Amino acid sequence: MRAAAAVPGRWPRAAGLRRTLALLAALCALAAAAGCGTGTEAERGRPVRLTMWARSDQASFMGKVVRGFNRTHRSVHVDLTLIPTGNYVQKLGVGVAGGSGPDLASIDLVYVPFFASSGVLADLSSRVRSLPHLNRLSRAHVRQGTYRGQRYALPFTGDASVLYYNTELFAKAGLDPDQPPRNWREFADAARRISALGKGRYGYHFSGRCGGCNVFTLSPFVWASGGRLVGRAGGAERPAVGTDPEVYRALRMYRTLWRQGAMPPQAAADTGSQSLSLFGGGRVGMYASGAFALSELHHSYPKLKFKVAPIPGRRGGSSSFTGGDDIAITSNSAHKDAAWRFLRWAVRADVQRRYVGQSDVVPVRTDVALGPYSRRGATYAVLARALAHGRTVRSRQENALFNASTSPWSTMIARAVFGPGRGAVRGATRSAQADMVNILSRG
Amino acid sequence: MTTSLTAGSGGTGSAAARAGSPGSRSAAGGRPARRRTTLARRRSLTGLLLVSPALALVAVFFGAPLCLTVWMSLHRWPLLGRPVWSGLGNYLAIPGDDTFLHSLGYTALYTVVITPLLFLAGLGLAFLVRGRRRGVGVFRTVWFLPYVLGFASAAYLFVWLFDPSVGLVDRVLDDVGLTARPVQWMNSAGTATAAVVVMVVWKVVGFQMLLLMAGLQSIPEEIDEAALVDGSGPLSTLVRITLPLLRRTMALVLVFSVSGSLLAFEQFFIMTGGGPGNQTLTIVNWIYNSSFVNFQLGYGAALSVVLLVVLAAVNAVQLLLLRERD
Repeated sequence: MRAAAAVPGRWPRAAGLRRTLALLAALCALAAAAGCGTGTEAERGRPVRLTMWARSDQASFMGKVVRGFNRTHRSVHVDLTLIPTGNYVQKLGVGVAGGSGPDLASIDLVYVPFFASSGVLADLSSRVRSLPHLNRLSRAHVRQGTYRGQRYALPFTGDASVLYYNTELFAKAGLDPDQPPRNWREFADAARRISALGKGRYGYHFSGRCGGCNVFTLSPFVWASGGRLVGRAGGAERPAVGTDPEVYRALRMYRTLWRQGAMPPQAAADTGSQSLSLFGGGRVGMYASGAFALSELHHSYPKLKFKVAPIPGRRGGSSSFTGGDDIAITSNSAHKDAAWRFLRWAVRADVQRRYVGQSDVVPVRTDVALGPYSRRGATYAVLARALAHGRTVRSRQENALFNASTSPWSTMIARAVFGPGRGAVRGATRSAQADMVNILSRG
Repeated sequence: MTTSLTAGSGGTGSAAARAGSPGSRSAAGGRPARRRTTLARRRSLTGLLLVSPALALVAVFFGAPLCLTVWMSLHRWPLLGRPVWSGLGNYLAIPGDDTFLHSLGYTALYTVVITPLLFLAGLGLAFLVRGRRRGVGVFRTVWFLPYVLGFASAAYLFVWLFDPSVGLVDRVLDDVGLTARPVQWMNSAGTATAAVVVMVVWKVVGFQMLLLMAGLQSIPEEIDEAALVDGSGPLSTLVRITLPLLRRTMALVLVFSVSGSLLAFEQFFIMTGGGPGNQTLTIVNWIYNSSFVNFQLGYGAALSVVLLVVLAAVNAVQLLLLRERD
């Protein structure tokens, strides 16, 4: 009885095993077929699967965008992978160089010239020509994606640096909360008057040890006054930090504010992590930041009363650093047509309004930004105008020259603003110029 | 006499010499001589065969990368895109690179600080554990144990220990009453370096102890006894007898620790990140940043070649100074 039960018991199990093996073999065959005939997947009714990489600090809305695309597209499916922000450029570089990169890459626009110039992005020129609304896309984004007349990337997400100011502290210091500073004199005056309130309150804060933050927030002061950071000489880029008088003047203004005690002591050591809590906590009257700070300020500091204004030039005018991402197709992607469908979809007005503009990100379409996005409130209108007229630092070595903690730009700011000695600013700009020229001379 | 001496020194060459000299003497017996030479040749061939895996490994994993590094250093070699020949351009840029010059100075300073510390601590421990006493094995094991850990994991352990808010070090200092508020170890170059030095001493001292202990144990007891009989005190025995006899071991230990310190990377990369403001940036950390943050692989290669030359020079000087003069 027991034996009889055991024998039939054994056979079905073996049959099950055989079935599993057969199934596995079939799956392997399927996978092999999929590997060979990738181009015809869509015709067979299965969606083309695209991989897309983005930085982890954009996790909150990148997921929404991709889900929105997948919901409305049957023949293309995008799989999103988030890469830690600090390692993104490196991972993407190594991945694409080693043939394991994604089909689509959302890239911080300051790094786009580097990738475009090194041949790892697909040339989209002919496809971009068919886009009807190229002139309605953020100019700075489009320019970053253009290298030697060819287009390698499209605008995707936007941001813009503006001056945040605490209206309560403005009122307490006897300043008009509806009249933000229009030039450097008014700006420095406001900073001093807020600092004069005492009780640990200061006029202006900036992150003294953060190259990337200061590209975003200090360069608009220079640009709005007619200066520049990088120029061109004979077809090659040439740094201008040591020769441009407005860079010198902007650093002088920062140094004066620091020496007069109009900046909090934390400014000297801040690597970017303290600015939001200092402003949110009401201890700082003004600081420059972008749209990315909005929701955290609203959530963590609901009682804070603040407005935003354009970053002013020395004698008036204003400027802004355009931030955000471009999106590109990698040159060894096997699905460029499908990937292009995602790009074309991403810059559509309704997509930019619905997915991009809803988060802490400014739409890259100026018609959306200046239209529906601006109607949401004065803060958004200021951000949209800043984006529409914004600029970027364009360099193939942006990271080495500006963003990296070892960059000449970071060192220059620390020395010029906090350094000892009378000629600190002049010395700092001169040696930064020499260092930048040196970096561009090597490879 | 001389031939027998050279033959006695060992190695494949000596085998040939031993077989060759009797062969020439007994010219009458041609057959055995030929057999001996073929035997010798076969033996040296066997020797070559036996070392060939090692030679191949050296060629593939040392020779080839070294050649490639030198080749890369003569190009502008971006991580992506095509390399372009630039001759000595990368080398000429080095004197103008303040970050590199500073990292060179800092690495030298770190080496000068850590080497004597490690050596003295290692020697002290070696004296403690050299004898055959009960339980000495436990101490040897305990002190050697951290060396088995990877540098990266040890560094992460100390990142936690030195953390101002959750770390143990600040807590203990606070409880003992040495500090009133937590020390922000990584906020100044001095305290950051101190934290790294503590970690490295803890981690590496066991290895130095082991080497020095072996050196101490190789000194015959008779010499110590003779010194005692001659009326030498402990200090004079140490300085005049023990340390001179320890010369070879000391050379080994110092070469290890100087090379290791000049190549310091993981501990700083993880614990300080080169901060604050690049003040604790080591040479290798800057080579890494140049290559994989700035994507200037050619320049990184040039810096590596320079570091190789510096390292070879330092070690050569060291070995020269510690050479046995007799």
